[in-house]
Amino acid sequence: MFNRALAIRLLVLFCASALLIGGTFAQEPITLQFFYPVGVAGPLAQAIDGYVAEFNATHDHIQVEPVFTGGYAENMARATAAILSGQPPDVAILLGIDIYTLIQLEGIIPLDDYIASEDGLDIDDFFDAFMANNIADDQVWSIPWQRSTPILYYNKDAFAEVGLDPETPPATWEELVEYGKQLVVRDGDNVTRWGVEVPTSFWIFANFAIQAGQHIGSLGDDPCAVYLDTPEATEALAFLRRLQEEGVMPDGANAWGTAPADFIAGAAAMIYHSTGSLSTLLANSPFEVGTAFMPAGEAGYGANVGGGNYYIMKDIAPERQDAAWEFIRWMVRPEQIGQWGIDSGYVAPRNAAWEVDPLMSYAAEVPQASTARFQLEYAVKEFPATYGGQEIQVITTQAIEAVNTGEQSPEDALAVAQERANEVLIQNGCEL
Amino acid sequence: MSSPRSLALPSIVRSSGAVAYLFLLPSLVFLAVFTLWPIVSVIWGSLHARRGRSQIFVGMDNFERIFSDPFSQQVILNTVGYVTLSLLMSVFGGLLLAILMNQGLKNIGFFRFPFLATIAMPMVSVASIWLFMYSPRVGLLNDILGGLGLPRSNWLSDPDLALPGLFVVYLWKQLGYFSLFYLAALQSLPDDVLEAATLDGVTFWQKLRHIIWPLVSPTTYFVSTIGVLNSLQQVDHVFVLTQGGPNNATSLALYYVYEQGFKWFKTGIASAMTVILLAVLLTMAILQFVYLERRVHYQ
Repeated sequence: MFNRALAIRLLVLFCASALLIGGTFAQEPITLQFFYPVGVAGPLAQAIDGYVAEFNATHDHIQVEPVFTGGYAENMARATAAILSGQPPDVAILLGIDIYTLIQLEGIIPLDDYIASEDGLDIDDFFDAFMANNIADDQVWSIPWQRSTPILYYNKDAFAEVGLDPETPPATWEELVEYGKQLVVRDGDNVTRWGVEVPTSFWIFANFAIQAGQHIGSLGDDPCAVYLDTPEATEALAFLRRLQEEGVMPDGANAWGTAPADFIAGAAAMIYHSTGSLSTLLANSPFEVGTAFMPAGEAGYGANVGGGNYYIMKDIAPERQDAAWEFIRWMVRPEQIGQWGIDSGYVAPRNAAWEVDPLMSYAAEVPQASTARFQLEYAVKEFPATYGGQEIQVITTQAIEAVNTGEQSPEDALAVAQERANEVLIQNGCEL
Repeated sequence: MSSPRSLALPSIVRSSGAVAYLFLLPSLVFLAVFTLWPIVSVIWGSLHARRGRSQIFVGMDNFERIFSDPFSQQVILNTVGYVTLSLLMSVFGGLLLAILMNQGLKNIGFFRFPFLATIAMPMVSVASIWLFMYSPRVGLLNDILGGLGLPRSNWLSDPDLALPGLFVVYLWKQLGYFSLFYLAALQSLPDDVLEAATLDGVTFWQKLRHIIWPLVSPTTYFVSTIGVLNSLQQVDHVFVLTQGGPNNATSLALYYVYEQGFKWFKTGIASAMTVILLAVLLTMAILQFVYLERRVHYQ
């Protein structure tokens, strides 16, 4: 019996000391799981994987494992599923507008303490329009990363060809129609080049409503606000239909992904698209690409911001959250986020990035890169930053589709959409 | 070494049928875990709605929503139309194609191959190829139409053309599959009956109606069953080509379940639609079993 007891004691001692030694000398690096989507054309996944590799090479105690999760919708779906199953990623790029959904899921943490800490961040350096979707209950929940507004891209060669001044893009809705008509090329009954192509999407439509005088979403901190059945929104949607009726824009719904391809192929002389597509369009268009503010409506210029931010997840250990913050802080350094702006076309979301290389020299060389930045002066919070926002996106896009395919009048389509959006909000506990 | 006899079970165990259950156990476990439990849990889910992280009991509310919301009504109509058309085409189109492929032509394999090759292709690749063909301004289909001086269409963005457009993709891929069963059935038909009919001066149509059709009825029964199931299950082309648009025109039941359940995490609505699908399929299976099975001519 004595021998057996001794053996057990020795074994316990051995295990304990092994643990102690392991813990002291061979500290395991924290491995962070990082979800990110790609929302525009181009090899952006390679760019992000490259930055992460550089981060990993320069940090011994943190290793980031990037997980490409598809487009924004799939990315959010995977993040939601992970949060609901209690096994979230550590850090993720998710849409700014999903903030309330994520708070409702208890999936994210506010970042104010990190921002104010010694290893903090000068949050005032970030552009106001790009912080609008990041704040709820007076707390900052995410840090801007791949931020954009739509801009007008135009084919300068086509402008010159029809006698328009390539340096004077359309500045108003009326000019858009007028220039569009001149740019259309017909071959018998078929149009071989359209004047303008506006993708059928809630995100693009929101800009027209702002230009008409009333945003379709909240400008402040209200997760229950959707304004789709206003006279301004109706006017905006009627204008989109008018572009088709005047033969300037292709009939039917126009897919988000088709517009850049059509522009590059010369099948559309102007397109509305994310500034995130800039690099792809500049690199692949066999003509000179012009960029401009989206033309002004009755209420002047207006833009709906968009894009993704860094969020840190809630159900993970504090040291993992700390590590995630260190990673975010590294990624949004002025030089780093400026490089990202060049690689992608997204608007580097902080002032400091534009004041250092590489972005400073690039902006001087490629003036198109600054269009969206200057348009920010007219930019507001992105729609739909509400509960159930993913569904309200689709509801809004369906209303635009119904009008762009000639199924419904703008009034009817938007009334239906408003009613459906209200239903979603009520289901999520809003009192309307 | 122990003798084989030592493996024999006590007679009490053998006589009570326990051995049978023992052998059934692995299958029963899998059936319970992967079929019965999901059914129970989907029924439970259909009676609840998610808010944040919690599930709230809502009774039949989800079903009421599905049947009263015009958009889910449209999904149901889309699905019924799609499945009905698929049923008709898989039976009649499949039989017709099989008859054509069964002609004693030289090099018939050359003609059979393209129809059968599509079976082996994944739906995602097929849909991606068709995405290019349907593309409004750079697509093959419009190029051909334009070249012939015919009007072009924005195939997948036109609410009247989009669902037929999806169906064509489905048919293009799956018709060969259904005709394969008919081809096998046709090749096993008794030659003497058909020969005798030909000698009696029977027309092709009469032969089809009175000899071939009854004789291939077991295949028709089989094809109609898998035709329905197949058309309900294929959802990849909706993802690739239209994502349910424009304005909900191409949303099919399974896509709706995906969108509600896995995009918006409205697990209650998604479960309720799944329960509806399940009920419809069960009813159909029973009807087909009771009604069609009796009329099938087995040799």
